[in-house]
Amino acid sequence: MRGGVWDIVETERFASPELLARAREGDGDSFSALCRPFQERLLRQAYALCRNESQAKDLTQETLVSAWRSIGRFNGKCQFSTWLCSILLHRHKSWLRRSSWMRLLDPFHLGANETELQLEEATPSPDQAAQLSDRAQTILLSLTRLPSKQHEVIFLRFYADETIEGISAALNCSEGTVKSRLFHALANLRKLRTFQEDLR
Amino acid sequence: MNCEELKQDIALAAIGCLPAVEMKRLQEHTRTCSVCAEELMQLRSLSSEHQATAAELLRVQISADRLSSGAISHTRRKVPAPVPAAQLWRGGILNLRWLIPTGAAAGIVIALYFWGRPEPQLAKEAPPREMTNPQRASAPLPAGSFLAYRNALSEGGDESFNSLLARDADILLRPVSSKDLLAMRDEVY
Repeated sequence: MRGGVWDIVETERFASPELLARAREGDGDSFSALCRPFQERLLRQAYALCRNESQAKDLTQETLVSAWRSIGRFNGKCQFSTWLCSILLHRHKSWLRRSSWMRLLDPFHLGANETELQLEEATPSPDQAAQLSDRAQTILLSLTRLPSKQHEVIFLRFYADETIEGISAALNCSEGTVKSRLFHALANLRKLRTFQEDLR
Repeated sequence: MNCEELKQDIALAAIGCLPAVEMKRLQEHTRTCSVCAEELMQLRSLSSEHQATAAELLRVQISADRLSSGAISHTRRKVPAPVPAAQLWRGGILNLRWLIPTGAAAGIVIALYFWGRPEPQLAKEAPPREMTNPQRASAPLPAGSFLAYRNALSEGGDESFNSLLARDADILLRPVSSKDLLAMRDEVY
């Protein structure tokens, strides 16, 4: 099932094969042209992960740079946007891991990595918080409570509108694994929702 | 059909990923099984919440201006140049995030090395020996002790006595205080 809400922000659904071929050969301009239609989508996906605009922009930037470095490894089995989203998820995961190590090893080392250290406590700015409903914020927060593998499949399904085949290609695992992870992720999300409702 | 077998299908149906044939089979089952129907309804509600959140994200005012392709080098990609050694030192080995765990690991190794070693024995001052205790005669007696000379004479003869005298000449020839003389007298009698 493709399409859905993200069609609003995407001018093109599929990556142009010509641009892709030229980007693989190392043409930076072609890569920029290839990524441009997906930038806003990627940024909003990053925002869903960080819930903070500046961090989302940094994360998106890092994702694009990583994608540029590894464009040669894109095999076309999944959509280009899904491939970008899987890189985004990996970058976010490594960012969180790095920030937790930095916090543990060097609590006084701020400065350049300040955003990394504060990533976990990311909160939307007041303007943005007003734009997202409490329910949406709770849902985004509950996603972060999932194990990372379940988080990935749920994120790719709901926030990247990807099919099971696409998710399995992006994550390089079987469709059965994706189905199983989705099943367990939904079960966990339901438990979390029940728990949150009990707290109210 | 067993409800347990359909659990995964229910989850997939709720998120819209179940193929049509299996969906039809599930619908037939949910008509007769209220538990599975309830489960499907709950998961659909959860799924729709996430879809609504994804739609809400589109309304958040985020500008993607800063993300113009400026981050991407507009030059053609080349074979990555080798990292200069100085940069490697500054950015890698001397980086704080490497130094701290390395230092911690070195500290642990050093601590483990010294863990099993015996504590170094400090030279202790010999306790004052009781001169009049005959039970401790087997221990080496201090220089200038009358008991030592008597033992040397009785056990080793003249030769041993003379060698003991030669050893303690420095002590014996120094001026002796009256207090020491009195102590020697007490030791003998």
